[in-house]
Amino acid sequence: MQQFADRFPALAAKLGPEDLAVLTRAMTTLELPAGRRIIRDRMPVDSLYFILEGDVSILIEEGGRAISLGRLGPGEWLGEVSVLSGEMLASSTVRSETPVKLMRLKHQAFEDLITKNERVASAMLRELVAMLAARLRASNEVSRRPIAFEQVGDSLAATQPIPTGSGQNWLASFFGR
Amino acid sequence: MNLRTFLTNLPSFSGFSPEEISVLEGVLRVASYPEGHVFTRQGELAEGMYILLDGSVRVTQQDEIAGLSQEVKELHAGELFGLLSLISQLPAVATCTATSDASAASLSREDFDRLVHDAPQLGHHLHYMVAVQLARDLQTRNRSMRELLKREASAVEAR
Repeated sequence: MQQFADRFPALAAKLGPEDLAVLTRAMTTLELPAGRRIIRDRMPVDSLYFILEGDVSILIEEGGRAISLGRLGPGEWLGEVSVLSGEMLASSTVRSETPVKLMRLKHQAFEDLITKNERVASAMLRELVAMLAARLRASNEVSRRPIAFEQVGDSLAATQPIPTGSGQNWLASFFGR
Repeated sequence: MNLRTFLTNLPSFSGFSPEEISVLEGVLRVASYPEGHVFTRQGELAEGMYILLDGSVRVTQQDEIAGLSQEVKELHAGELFGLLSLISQLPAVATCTATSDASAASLSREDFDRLVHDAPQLGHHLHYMVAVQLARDLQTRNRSMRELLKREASAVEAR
């Protein structure tokens, strides 16, 4: 729980210790080696993931090719768009680039939490809105620039200038659906 | 038209207490707009969100990633638009234009903050609607990226 609070200080502060405990009790810890697909493009997503340690890369895959959209690290959420939009299929792949430690919250548990606990719901929604807004804002800035493609093995990779800073990674807007 | 009755009958606001509906009614500003009025312009900051009371509004969106054709949606009485303007410094993702003489109730960001404070349940609900809208907009961008990839992949094969 302390590690979660350290990695997600804004959410932890909004929740307070009691509700933070409620949230983390509903989660399970997941440790994976590098090279694993945590979320697969166009496959069902049933959980939200919170990155505690390690890096993941975000890919859009199409016809055996991929655009690499960049990396996300500790303090970022994955999978929130599918739960909010109601479209439970991923629209990108999330792959571990290093060994990763994640906290997993099943969508069902998330829904139970936010319907039963108004304070948790309010804190998580505000945090979600802030994070989604930051990602959309960042993607607004970057989407106007040309995307450079390059051939990497079988994959077609696109390189993009990426705004840095937590919550400002526009690539975050493409994962976890 | 009685704004209060209108709000109470909207699916978005049904189930809220009369007190909360009163707070909402108190922060909304009702105004008439001529045909052709632009409520929000894509890429520009808007002043607030709107609840369409009468008339119709067209929503258009220019895809800046893959250059896909504009998405057009027609809104009718009872629908909300411009939700993202409730979030600080977030430009509109679509252009909303009145396609007939229209009337709408608007909610500014400042008044939204007041609403969240005075009617937390309702404010919470609007926050949720904003989050869903954001999620859908991000999904749309993702689809555009996939479209771009498809196009680049076929261009590479053609070489």
